[in-house]
Amino acid sequence: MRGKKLGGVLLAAAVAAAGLWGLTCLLVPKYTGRVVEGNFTAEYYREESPHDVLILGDCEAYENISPVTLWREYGITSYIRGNAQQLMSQSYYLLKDALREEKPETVILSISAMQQAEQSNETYNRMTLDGMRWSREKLEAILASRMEGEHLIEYVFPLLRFHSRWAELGGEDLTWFADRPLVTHSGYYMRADVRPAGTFPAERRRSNYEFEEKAYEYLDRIRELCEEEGIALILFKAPSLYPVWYDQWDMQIEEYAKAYGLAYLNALEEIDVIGIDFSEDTYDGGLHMNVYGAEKVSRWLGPVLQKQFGVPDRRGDAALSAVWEAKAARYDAEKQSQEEEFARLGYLTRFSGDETGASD
Amino acid sequence: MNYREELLEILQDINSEADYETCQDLIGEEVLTSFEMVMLVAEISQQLGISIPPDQIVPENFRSVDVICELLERLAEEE
Amino acid sequence: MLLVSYEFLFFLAVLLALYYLLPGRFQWPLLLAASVLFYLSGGAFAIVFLITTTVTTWFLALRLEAMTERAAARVKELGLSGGEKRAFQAAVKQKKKRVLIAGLILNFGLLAVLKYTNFFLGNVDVLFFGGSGEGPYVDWLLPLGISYYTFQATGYLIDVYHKKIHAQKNLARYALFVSFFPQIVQGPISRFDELAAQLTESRRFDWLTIRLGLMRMLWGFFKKLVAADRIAPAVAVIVQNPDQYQGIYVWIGMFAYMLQMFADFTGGIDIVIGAAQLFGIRLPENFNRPFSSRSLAEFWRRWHMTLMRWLREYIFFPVSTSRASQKLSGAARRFLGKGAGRRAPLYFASVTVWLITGIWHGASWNFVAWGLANCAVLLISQECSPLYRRFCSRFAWTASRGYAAFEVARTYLVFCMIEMFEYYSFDVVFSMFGSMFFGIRPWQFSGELAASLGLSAADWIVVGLSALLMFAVGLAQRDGRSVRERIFALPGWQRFFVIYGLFLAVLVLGVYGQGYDASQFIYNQF
Repeated sequence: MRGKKLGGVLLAAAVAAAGLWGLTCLLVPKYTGRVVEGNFTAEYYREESPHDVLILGDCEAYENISPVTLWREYGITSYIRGNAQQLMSQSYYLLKDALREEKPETVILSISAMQQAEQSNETYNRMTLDGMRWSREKLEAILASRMEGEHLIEYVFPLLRFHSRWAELGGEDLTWFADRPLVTHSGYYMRADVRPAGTFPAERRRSNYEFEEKAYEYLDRIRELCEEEGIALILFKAPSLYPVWYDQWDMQIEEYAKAYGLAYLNALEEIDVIGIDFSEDTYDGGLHMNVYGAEKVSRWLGPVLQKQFGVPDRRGDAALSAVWEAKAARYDAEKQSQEEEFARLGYLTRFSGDETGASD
Repeated sequence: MNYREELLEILQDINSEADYETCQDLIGEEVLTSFEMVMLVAEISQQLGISIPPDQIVPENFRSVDVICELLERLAEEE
Repeated sequence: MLLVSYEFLFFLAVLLALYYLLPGRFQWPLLLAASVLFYLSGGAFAIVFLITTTVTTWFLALRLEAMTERAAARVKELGLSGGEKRAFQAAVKQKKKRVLIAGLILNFGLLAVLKYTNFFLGNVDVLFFGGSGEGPYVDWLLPLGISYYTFQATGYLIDVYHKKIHAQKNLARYALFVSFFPQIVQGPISRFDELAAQLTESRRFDWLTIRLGLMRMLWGFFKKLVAADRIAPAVAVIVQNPDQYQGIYVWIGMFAYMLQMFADFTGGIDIVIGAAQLFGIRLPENFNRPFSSRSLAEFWRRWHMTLMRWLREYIFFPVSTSRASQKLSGAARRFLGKGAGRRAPLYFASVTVWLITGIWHGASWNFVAWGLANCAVLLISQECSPLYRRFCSRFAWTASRGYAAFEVARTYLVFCMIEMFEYYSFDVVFSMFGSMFFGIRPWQFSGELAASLGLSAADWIVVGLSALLMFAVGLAQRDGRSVRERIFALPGWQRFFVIYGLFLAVLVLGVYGQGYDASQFIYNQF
């Protein structure tokens, strides 16, 4: 009798848990529409082979370098762990998280996130952190970057955060109930549309150009972690025309790199060498590179990585080649499809759902 | 001294339709509302010269006509 | 710490575990510590006022009791009897009265100063300085729960004065009675004799009691989060724009407002009572299906019952039997006749009580008007009651269920209409009364105006269904049986699905946390 009752309680608990799990799967955002950034972090865990180069950072990392190009032309295996508005603290914890899976030889860190120590929009935190597997790193990453009004428990049970989506559920919520489509190419966010760079608002003067202490703290921690693990760290600034990368900022990074003997690659100063044409190589008027720009940046970066940092050419490895050929095929297919659509319509339907999409 | 007659008369005056004599729970059955209790107390004070202190105005003392009579007798004795 | 917050649930969970792990004699000190912690979480400074009230009422109650005991001993010692005894006792009573009044003035004075200073300054400004509105207003924060704990503590003092209860000698035990954390925020206002002993009892873990408490809390969360907070935006829009939302919208606004108020207040009290029940403590009920009332008087016997009980016991009856009332009654009897003599104390006490009720709810003339409007309707109904009774005994159909339903609807309507005084000036209220009966235009119902209420169709469906559920629960409580106990008496799987369903409804349909808005995501900044 007692056993029967216990069994009933256990069964009820299982049904309750299953119901909550199902609701969570249904209600969390799927990020398969115009905004795909929420899927980046989790996609990393689907990688089948290790990487020699790991690239960390915000959009300046994931929109400006193409790992497929790095492979195809130099045999470099790389992956971008980047997210929208990924803070330095989040880059640090994502690096630690990645080190549990593999040990890259080189880490490229996009330093544009130095300008912002605190998160400005909770949505970015969720998109960056929700995809992380549970670990001490995830917990610490949440605690390091959560905003006011964000609760740890809402990360533990995302249903608490996203429950209000019940009223706006759509087909994608059923289609991608349990798994997600691959939205990046080894962490690279592909755009094959073109919008030439125009004029930008004048540089706004700032009262203080000094990066915040918290940003430096995590830059230090990334550097120290790389030292401990024997990883070469490269600081990288993408060739984005806007927002402005102030000279004062640039100097601080240069000083930092000098002080610790790090390489600092500022692509802004190499625009001519790289061969970027801002009337062709950007999809949003000079903020981010499109696929053509990203490929150019990769062709500039590849030789640097190989010559200066000795990143190996792995094209001789049959198993790796098979993995990367599949990646390249997917990459080419999407690039081609975007190109065709852009040629036909003059825009990409998926990314111009509404005004904000079109004007960015 | 017995106040029953006078009491019933006062009660009839306040509400002529209610059945006070048989009801054993005037408050609970809402035969006597708090408004009517106040009028009753005022009338008792004026007609019988017995003032009921506020701490005695509790449901237990106004349950039925008999109980109210007991209260009045007790108060009259204390005077 | 809000009652509806992760923090409160966490606090409660930790406290619950500690409470049942600790030996009995540490249980009530734990509750006191938790209550202090809870209070401090709302700001450290306000606790000064809570401590002042606690200590003064505790000390004065002890004084009162000591005076009573000493007087009794003196009577025995001196062998007083008859007239001498009465004279002695009267003298003691006078002294006791002074102590009581000192305590009341101090505590109500504190409440008055903290709550009504700006109201007072505003009126001074209007009267003497032309109401520039720039007056020297103060920005004191009202200490959490001061309107509730002041009433509870003074009620205790008065009860000791009347020798209804014995004074509590232990300050810490008494402090727990005043500050007990679930109820300090919004009541219910307990009486010492019904609560104090319960608080300090030692208890063993009893799952049957705890699950009732949890269920009660869940139901409270449902009312608050699913119903009240979902309709709140629409209520705010209508209430704040009376000139725009007329005719049918007055009706919609009224129903929406009452739904929100009912769900929010009774839901909050459900959470409070449920939380107390987790610790085996039964707080007094504050509502008894108020919207089943067939008259406004009945409504006020069923709505916010502990406040009304307090006002009845400590204001209404004492004022009606006060010397002033008796004089008034005598004078009225002499000049206007027997009926007037009988009514004078009632009118005097009613107006006093409703003035206080009004001003207690909020420091503004609107609330005074609201209180007096209630008072007027209640007194008029009282005067009409003989007529009404004759009407009912003449027509048999007044005994039908349909007529009862009509009365319930009428009570609801009357209460709603009186509520408007809380928000608007007289002219707006009366123009709204006009508009709701004569200004109804069917086309108002659709289009932009309806959309501007800010609720989607899905929101309205949720609100409607939750209103239906609350209505059904109200009906099920009609025979006085506990719905919770009936749910727990269901066969296992049915019980599971009822409770789990309610839980999921709160979890998914509740309005809490940051809403999800896909358009929040603006690209160009990252």
